[in-house]
Amino acid sequence: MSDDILKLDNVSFGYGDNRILNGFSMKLGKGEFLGITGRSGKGKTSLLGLCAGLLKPDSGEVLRNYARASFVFQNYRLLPWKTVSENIVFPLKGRVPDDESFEKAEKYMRMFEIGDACDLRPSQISGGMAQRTALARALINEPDIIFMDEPFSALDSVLREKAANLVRSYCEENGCSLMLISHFSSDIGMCGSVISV
Amino acid sequence: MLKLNIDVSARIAGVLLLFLVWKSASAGMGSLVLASPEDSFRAAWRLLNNADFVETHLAVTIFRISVSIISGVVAGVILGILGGTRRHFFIFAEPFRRVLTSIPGIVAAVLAMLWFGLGSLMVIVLSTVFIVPTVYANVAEGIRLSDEKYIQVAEVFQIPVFYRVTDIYIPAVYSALCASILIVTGNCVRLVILAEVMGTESGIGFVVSVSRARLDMPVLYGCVIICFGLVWLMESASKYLLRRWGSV
Repeated sequence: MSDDILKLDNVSFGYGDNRILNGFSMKLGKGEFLGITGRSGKGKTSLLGLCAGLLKPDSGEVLRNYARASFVFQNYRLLPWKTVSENIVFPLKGRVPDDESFEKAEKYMRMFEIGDACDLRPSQISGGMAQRTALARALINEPDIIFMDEPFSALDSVLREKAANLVRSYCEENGCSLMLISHFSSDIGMCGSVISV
Repeated sequence: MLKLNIDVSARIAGVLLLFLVWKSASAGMGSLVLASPEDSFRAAWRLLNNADFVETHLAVTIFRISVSIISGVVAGVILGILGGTRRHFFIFAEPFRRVLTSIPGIVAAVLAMLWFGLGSLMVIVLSTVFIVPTVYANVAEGIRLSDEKYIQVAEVFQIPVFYRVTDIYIPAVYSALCASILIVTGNCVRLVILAEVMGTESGIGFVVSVSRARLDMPVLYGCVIICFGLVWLMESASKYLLRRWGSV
């Protein structure tokens, strides 16, 4: 487990009679990129939820060896009562002083080209902007691992490539691991290994 | 603009009808049973211009109402957060909530007089105890029904409990909390007056009690008008504060 940031050992999970995972095992090393592909409804998001601790396995063990994680949810999950910049600094709550947080947020808003939307609420921005806000929120947290569920699906090809490069650079520079669900081969292409469910 | 005019007209018509019914009833039953609107308003105006009434009674009642609302809401929110986030606490507190929401106010007032004697402490404790369960239930239920997906966001980012409360739970229950605060504001005024009628020697309720004993109907109804104004004032103040808090 020393180099493994995440390990699933004989994990089973399902919703009632619908079994999604049966005795599933895998491990992810520090700085490794893992892609997850497969048809809709096959349990990719559930697998990511199990790995991140949002779901509990019916049996088996999930070992997590990291201090900090970020999650880019498929439907972004921005807090609707907060502005874009407040959403971005949310992971730093209680850890970093407010003025420092917002200073950092400005950097990420520039990187993801959402500076103009900083005072808008999620209901006032496009899906693409919301997705970039979710990506900025994930990176500002300076995580050891990022779980991403279709993280670039709402972006056009130019923004998609730029966002993917920003994520890849962050991970490579910081030894951050990545678990990524995507239907796009270009996204999966940046992963060293791939699981198909 | 037309809709606004219709709204204003409907409101004015409602108020005029109320006064018409009041005036007719007063004329029919006699002023000893029901004081006329003009006598009542005159008495209310006289009371409000009487320094002794304002200092000894009105100010005391406003103080009791304010302390009761603040302490009841604070206690209700704290307990509601506990009840909403700790399932066992919610189950444990349920019998207390049921007893407090079903016990008649008059019975509780008698008990409060026995336990706390006569005076401000009894009034404040009684009103607070009745405010807490309403606020508690709204906050606890609001948190229990909060969208799980936002709680998961807090979990994955390891947000400390304090910020989960301030940044997830309270915004999520904001509407329910606002509604409960407005409800308890009106109820609190009624309860404070009731408690004052029964067991104090100051406050608007005491004036009501004395005027009832003396069959001084204009003063009695004048006090009712002042109470109505107090409810309106307290509700407006609560709405203003909630709006400001909501826009932060």
